[in-house]
Amino acid sequence: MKGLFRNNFFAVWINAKVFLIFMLLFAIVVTIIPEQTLQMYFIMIGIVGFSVIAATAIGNEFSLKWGKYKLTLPVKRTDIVRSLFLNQIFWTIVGTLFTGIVTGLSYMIQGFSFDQFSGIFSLFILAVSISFFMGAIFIPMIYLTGEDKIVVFLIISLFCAVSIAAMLFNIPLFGNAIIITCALMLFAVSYPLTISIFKRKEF
Amino acid sequence: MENILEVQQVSKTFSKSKFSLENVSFNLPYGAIMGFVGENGAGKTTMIGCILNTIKKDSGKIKLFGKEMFDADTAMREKIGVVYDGNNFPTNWTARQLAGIMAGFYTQWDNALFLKYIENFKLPTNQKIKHYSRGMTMKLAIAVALSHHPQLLILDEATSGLDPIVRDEMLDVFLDFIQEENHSVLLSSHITSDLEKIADYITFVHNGKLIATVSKNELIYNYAIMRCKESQFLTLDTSDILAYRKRDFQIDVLVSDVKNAQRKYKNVVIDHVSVDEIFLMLVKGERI
Repeated sequence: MKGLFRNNFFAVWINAKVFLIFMLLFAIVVTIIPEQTLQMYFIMIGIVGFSVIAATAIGNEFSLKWGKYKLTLPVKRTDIVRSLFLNQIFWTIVGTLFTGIVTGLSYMIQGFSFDQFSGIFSLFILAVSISFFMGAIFIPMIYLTGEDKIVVFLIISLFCAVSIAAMLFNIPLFGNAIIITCALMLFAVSYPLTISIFKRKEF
Repeated sequence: MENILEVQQVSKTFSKSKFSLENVSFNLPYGAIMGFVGENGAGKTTMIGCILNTIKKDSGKIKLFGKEMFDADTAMREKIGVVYDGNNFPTNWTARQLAGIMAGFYTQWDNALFLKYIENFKLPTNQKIKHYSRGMTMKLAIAVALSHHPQLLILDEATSGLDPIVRDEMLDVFLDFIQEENHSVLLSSHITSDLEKIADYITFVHNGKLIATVSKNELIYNYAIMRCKESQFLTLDTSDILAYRKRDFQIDVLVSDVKNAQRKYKNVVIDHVSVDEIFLMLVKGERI
């Protein structure tokens, strides 16, 4: 598993470092200008952005012989899938921590830029949920349909994730709890589904 | 003689392309190099996929180190080094990064050995793989395949597209690897001259079917082509004919016992030929 984690990290890091530079510049703006809309964009783009980069980078690996080569290494197919799901969780956490720290910093410097505290909490829940919904749809889709459809399935899974999240977000009572539970449940269901697809996959 | 790899009656059909691998059987002994020869699309990569479990066979048995290998048998894969044709690794990595990743996969990864190969092959460690030439890419793949002390090397068209000098360098590495008596190499290629240099056995496949597995010495010393006139051809004992091909004014006949042929057919010209010509006769020639 150590090799798989390193492999996934390297695969994502190449694009993530560029995104990180962009987010650092965005963070400076957000810290200087106490504007609610800017903060909202920052949180959403930060969390969803890191998870989208994680998903595409891993998807891109299938377009190389590396995807096939990995099967000849001393790892099980189950481990390969598990490492992808853990990788998705890892980068979602990275995005959440990064945006959380910057939001906290902004609060310390400029004061609270949101109308209510629950608003900012809901936004984090929404962004994390979209990330999990997207990963839950995208990863099995790529295993099912192949590497040549990465872009279209990324768009579809992101669109589906946003739609599901937006739909659940409007539930008045326990909205946050429902949305995050659904996202985690779908992510959890997607894992054995991906394993069963991958076990049948030939390279 | 014990075998490191045993392939017994392996079949695989792809419903979309209608390609079938049909009842292929061969054995690779310990301490030997086997050339796996066939034209493009003959089934070499499919067979290697079945051996390595990247493709699921429909029937038959494949034993590696005396046991069937399943997905969970990771310890068995520690003993196998694999090289595919082309880019085996993500091209935006450097050789140094690749070594770090491989060290996480193989318990027996030997970084000093890897760096030694990299130095011998004159590969830059901090340059991204995408800037490597094809020859350098293949050398890197071979260095990776050898740096975890495998017993079995499986190479799928690893020398194709390389210039003769790089190919020769690679063949020397394989010969060096085989010095250990428990090491073996399965090398699929359509460049038969490479196999003539290093292989102990050659397995011929054509259209998904096994044509023959023959030791190289037998091919070189016992196989030959008789250049017959039509009248001479008609007098031949059919049991001596492996395959024949009609040319303009002669018929070429492949025989597997040159001494017997020389004894029996004194007036016929008999030539020792290359593996390439033998393969062509086996594939394109007619059978009786």
